[in-house]
Amino acid sequence: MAIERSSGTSNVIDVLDRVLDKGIVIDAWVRLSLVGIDLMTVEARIVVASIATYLQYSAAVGEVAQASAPRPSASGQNRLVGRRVPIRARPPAFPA
Amino acid sequence: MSRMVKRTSRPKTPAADAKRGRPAPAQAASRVIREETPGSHLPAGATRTPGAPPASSDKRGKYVYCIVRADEALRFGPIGFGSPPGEVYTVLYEDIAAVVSDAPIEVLDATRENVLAHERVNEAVMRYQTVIPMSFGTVFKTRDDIVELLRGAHGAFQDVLSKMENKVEFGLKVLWDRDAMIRHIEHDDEDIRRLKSEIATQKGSTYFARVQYGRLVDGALQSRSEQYVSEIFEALRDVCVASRANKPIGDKMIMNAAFLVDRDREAAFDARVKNLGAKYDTLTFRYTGPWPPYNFVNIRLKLERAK
Repeated sequence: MAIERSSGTSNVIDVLDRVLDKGIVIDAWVRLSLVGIDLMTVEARIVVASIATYLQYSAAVGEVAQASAPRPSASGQNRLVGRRVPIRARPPAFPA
Repeated sequence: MSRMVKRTSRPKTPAADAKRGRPAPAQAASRVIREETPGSHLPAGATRTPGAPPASSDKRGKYVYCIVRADEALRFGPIGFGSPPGEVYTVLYEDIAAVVSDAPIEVLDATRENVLAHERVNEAVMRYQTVIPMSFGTVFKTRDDIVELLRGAHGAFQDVLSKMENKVEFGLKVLWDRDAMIRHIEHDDEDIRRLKSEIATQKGSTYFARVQYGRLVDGALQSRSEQYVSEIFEALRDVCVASRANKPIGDKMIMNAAFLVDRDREAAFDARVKNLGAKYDTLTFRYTGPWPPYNFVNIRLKLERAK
């Protein structure tokens, strides 16, 4: 079933991509409070702030694909021009 | 094209090749790179047995890895954080449980080891049952705090557990060689070709020609990338339950997606990705999984003061 397997540091990036802010997330400030001193269950209860399961994305694959495409940016254009065209020895004469 | 083939830095043993039991991959297929996830080798000592939590467990904090369905207390073996690795066990509330191990009550740094340990435990548990992964770094002070978590979000957890039942996530990143693609575009597009030769031969200012050239090339790159991405999504649509497009990272990546796949369709999904690799010989496919369904679960929790 495997096509081509490799392992290495790139995996850590894939892991970080997922574990830092996806899945079940408790608000950052809460997370700090939880490991702090005073917060206990008698004083606080956990409530669901939001829940989404992204199953609806399968119905909207086309739109998602479009939204994900890279957009040209001004800096991208400049970089492209700069890279593809050799720099000339004399400064270009701008038309008046 | 051999430079597009990324291989493991770890030397492959002949035994490993023999075990795989297949000839060296054809060139087209080798552009599809399936990478192992951190938990693809079950950590030593991983088990799943009924059992009460370890005795000393109430004096320390509890790190939560994931939420699962469970009818009884379970133990997953010494595969958690720390050295030696902490015992991973469950905290049960009604029919769901948090998979935890003992940890110091402090903010856990997202070091390579810690992050990989988090993922490894998730993947080990995932071999036995459906998991809802917790994001990295949540430590609770006591067992009662975790029971409170399970009680407070019981409905949400039940709902998501049934939706994710028997499903796993795969990651698919698609990369291209931007410079090679520009050469293709220059070859295919008459206007761009003409502009380029104008710039090369023109004696006076080429400023405007260069700006126009840049715009045309960027536009052509974008439409090609959009076309590839939508074709790839379309090709995988009927072998996945859902898909999610994340933002591509860097210049070379045109697609950074996650797919939720039913375990029964895993082979079909795999074959489809392989076909894509053969079809698009100018693209590189980086393919990872199976992961817990991180990209398809988003449960945000907060604490509220009790009255």
